[in-house]
Amino acid sequence: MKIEVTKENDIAIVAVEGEIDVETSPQLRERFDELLAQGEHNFVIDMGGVDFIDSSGLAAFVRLFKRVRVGEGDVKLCCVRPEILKIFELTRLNRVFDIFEARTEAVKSFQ
Amino acid sequence: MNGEKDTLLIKSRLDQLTKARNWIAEKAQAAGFPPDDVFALKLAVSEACANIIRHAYEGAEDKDIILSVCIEGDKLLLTIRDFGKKFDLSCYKPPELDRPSESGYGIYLIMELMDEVEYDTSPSKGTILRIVKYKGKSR
Repeated sequence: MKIEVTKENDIAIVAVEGEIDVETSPQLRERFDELLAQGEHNFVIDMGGVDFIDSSGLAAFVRLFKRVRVGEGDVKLCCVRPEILKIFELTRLNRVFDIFEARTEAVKSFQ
Repeated sequence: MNGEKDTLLIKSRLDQLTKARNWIAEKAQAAGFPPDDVFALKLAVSEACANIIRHAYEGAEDKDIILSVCIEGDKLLLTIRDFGKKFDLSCYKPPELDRPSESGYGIYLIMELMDEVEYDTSPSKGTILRIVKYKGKSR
């Protein structure tokens, strides 16, 4: 799994590539924790490169969401593949996270 | 592989999950299962094996997990066998979907995505998970 972080204004854009599973999700959780420790509270997660996610990956996103909400930040997702979107729908996490087709839309939604 | 049984043995380590996912994906794709079904099967295999590693074998890394698949027509039968602590379905509680949770989605996803799910604890040791997925039967 590859994680790339860029900043746009006060938004941390986290582009993830590869498979998020019980073996790799701790790496994602740690990266989220580092960003939170640096004071980031608005996140766009670009899922365009993610071709697999399991329940531990979902948990990593929920964990981040709960932490940013304390500081009134938010987590938005974009570029989610249809198979993965279905997993968010089945778990109703699509009601927790705003999900956008394009990264630019997700960034814009913070304004 | 119509009607033939194919088997994969993995060890109870997290680094074996990719191998198990790729194996079921290859079998399902070869039999003409659509991408949605292939993804669902990969997820079911991954969640089931992760649960076995965590709960049945309690983290021991040298134990066996045996996966078997048999595809006949539109029906894919997958069995996942372990020899650890028996799975107790009565302990399973579905997640409260109106409250986002950091755990509890694994078995729920297996049950939602697969057409039939049965945990057989009758063997003297371990559990046999039997899963059926029908081709193109969207859930």
